[in-house]
Amino acid sequence: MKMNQLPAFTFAKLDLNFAEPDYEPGKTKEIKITESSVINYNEASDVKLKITAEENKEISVFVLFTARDTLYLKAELEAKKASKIKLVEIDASLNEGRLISDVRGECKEDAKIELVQVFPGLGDIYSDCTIELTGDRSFFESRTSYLSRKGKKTDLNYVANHRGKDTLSEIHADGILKDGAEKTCRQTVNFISGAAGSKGHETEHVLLLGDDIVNKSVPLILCTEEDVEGTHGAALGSLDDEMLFYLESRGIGREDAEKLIINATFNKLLRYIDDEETKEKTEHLLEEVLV
Amino acid sequence: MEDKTYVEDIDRSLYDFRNADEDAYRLKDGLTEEIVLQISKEKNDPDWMRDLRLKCLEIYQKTDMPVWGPSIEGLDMDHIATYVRKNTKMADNWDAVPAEVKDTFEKLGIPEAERKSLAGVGAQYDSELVYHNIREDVAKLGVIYTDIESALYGEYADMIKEHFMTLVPPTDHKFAALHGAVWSGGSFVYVPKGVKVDIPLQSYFRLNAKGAGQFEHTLIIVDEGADLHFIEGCSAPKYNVANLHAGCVELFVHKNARLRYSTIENWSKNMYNLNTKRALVEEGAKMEWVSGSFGSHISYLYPTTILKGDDSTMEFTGISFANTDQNLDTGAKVIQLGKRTSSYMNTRSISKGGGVSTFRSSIEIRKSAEYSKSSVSCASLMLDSISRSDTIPAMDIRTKTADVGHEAQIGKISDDAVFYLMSRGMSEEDARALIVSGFAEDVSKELPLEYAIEMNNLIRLEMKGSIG
Repeated sequence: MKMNQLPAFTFAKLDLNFAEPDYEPGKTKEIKITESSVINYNEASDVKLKITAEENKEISVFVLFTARDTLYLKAELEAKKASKIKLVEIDASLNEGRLISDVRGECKEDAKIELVQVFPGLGDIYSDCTIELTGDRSFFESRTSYLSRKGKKTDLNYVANHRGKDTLSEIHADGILKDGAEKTCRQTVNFISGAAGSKGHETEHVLLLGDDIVNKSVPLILCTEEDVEGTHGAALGSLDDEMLFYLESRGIGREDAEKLIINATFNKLLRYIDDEETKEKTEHLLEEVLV
Repeated sequence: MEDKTYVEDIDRSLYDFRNADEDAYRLKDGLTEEIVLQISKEKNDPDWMRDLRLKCLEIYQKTDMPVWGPSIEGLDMDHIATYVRKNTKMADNWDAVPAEVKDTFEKLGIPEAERKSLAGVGAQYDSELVYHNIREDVAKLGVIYTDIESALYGEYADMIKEHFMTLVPPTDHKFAALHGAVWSGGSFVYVPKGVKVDIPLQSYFRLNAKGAGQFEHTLIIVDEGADLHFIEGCSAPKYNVANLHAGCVELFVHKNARLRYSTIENWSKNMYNLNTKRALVEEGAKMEWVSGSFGSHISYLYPTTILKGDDSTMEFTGISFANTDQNLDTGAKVIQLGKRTSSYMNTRSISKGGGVSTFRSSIEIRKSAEYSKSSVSCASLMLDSISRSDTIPAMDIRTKTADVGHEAQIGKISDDAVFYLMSRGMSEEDARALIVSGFAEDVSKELPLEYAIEMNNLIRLEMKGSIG
């Protein structure tokens, strides 16, 4: 299947314009969600979540994946006027597992869609998310933390299409690449004519900890509206020498410093998991896999 | 949102004048083996060059159009003349240049700039150079500045053969192959070891012929420890049919040398500017690009730097200004191979009157480039909501010791700033022009004074009448 397509292509030779995991989704099991829910998903079949927040309503959906092979999740989000949808994806896939997440959503007037992705798992990750900010003052916020390991792929794509006036997008990804890891992160803030007063911000922080890594980043800002403000900031590198020196002077060696940073990258997302049982499970997962 | 009024056309009379050139020799339109062989014959190519042209033609025919970037559907090679020559020979003094051609370059200020501030000038008119000269004191230092055609048969023939289209191979992309098949004109510069050329050399390319292409080749070799500033200028009158520019620039910057390559591109707005520029930078050497893109209907322009040597560095400073009927897709690329290499890109783009401005970049830091750094800063200014401004940067990092920073921002002119300047007695038009000039200052301050003035004039021209 073809996914994670950039809304505007870059140089073809960089092989970044889209991803093509060797998988074709089968018949998906559809789950309709209109109330806050927790889903532990480890079945072999693909799944489609249809999440709708009615006007003035807030719902949170927590999905904990444990892919043994390939799990394909399609999520369709509809945030009606002044509503809020929070979708939290937590990947606890096993070594040979592969999670393919495909999120599409629409945000109406004064609504918000919040996507939180915790990807510390042992398998491959393909994650595609496009949100249409059609309503005035609608808001899309995305926060992702990932750890990519040897021989594993993490391939991410986030697109915010600003259509309504005074819309806002915040797209943030933080990650760590260990030995032999391969990661691609695409982020797009797209200001479409008519989206006056809108703002969009993208950031990406990547800690490069291993040899033979491949880190690809493509942060796009597309604009056909004058009255907007868009920013992007990226910082890619290894542990800062000054920080290491500071930590070492307090008895914390490089290895422990790396662990601290990795844990901090994920722990900052825990506050978005406001379901206690899921939060506990996630904490347990992080303790287990972030060794 | 305030209403705005737009002036339909902008006075570009400084550049937009044309000569009839009824005596010009012109090959028929299109691209065939027969035409390529005819160009080769006209130029008295050595055999290897003729063979290279034919190989390039074959590659061109097999290569697809790019799948990214602005549409170039309006470019029909069947209606482009690839070779047009004024009926004159290249001269080394302006008095020997035909009056009409000399007058063209006088209007563009080239002879005056040569007298005041240049170490040498090459002036190309359509497919051939009409003037080439280097100051005697600079020539005495061993600096070679000549047309490529002469160099193909002189003392430097082997050097040309060794370097020509090796940095930009014809397989690179379709228009690199086209260039290889029909190239004509351009300059060859060699700066010997340790020689520092204190004042710049300049080549100026003028495409006068309607429905024609210009395919000059610039080859510069700056030997160890040497230093050069090379300036490239270009312009053309506007026609109601497509013109094409597919030049190629190959730059070799040897150990501990420095090369600054400055361009003010001001092609007419019927021009397809599909140009390729690339530099290979050895140990401890420095490559500096200063690039201003103001003209063209469609532009694909991404000067590329290969930081091969350890501790080599690159800086790219660029500005583009896209107005009505313009789609300027510009930026830069860098491939970092050597250890402790560093690259810095700083760009500004402005869109107005329905123009499309895209900043496109790629940074590749390969595994071998340990402890290398890269920093990109790009800012875009939208002057109305009928225009478009895109930022498409890409990074591919393959060593954990890399340190990469990237920042981009897009926005509009602050109403507060305009109000402040107007409260100090400035008209709104002048206030907005001043703010845009300030936005472009990072680039203009990198240019020699006379080119900074030209750039500011261009910005003023483009800004004229942009308010209501």
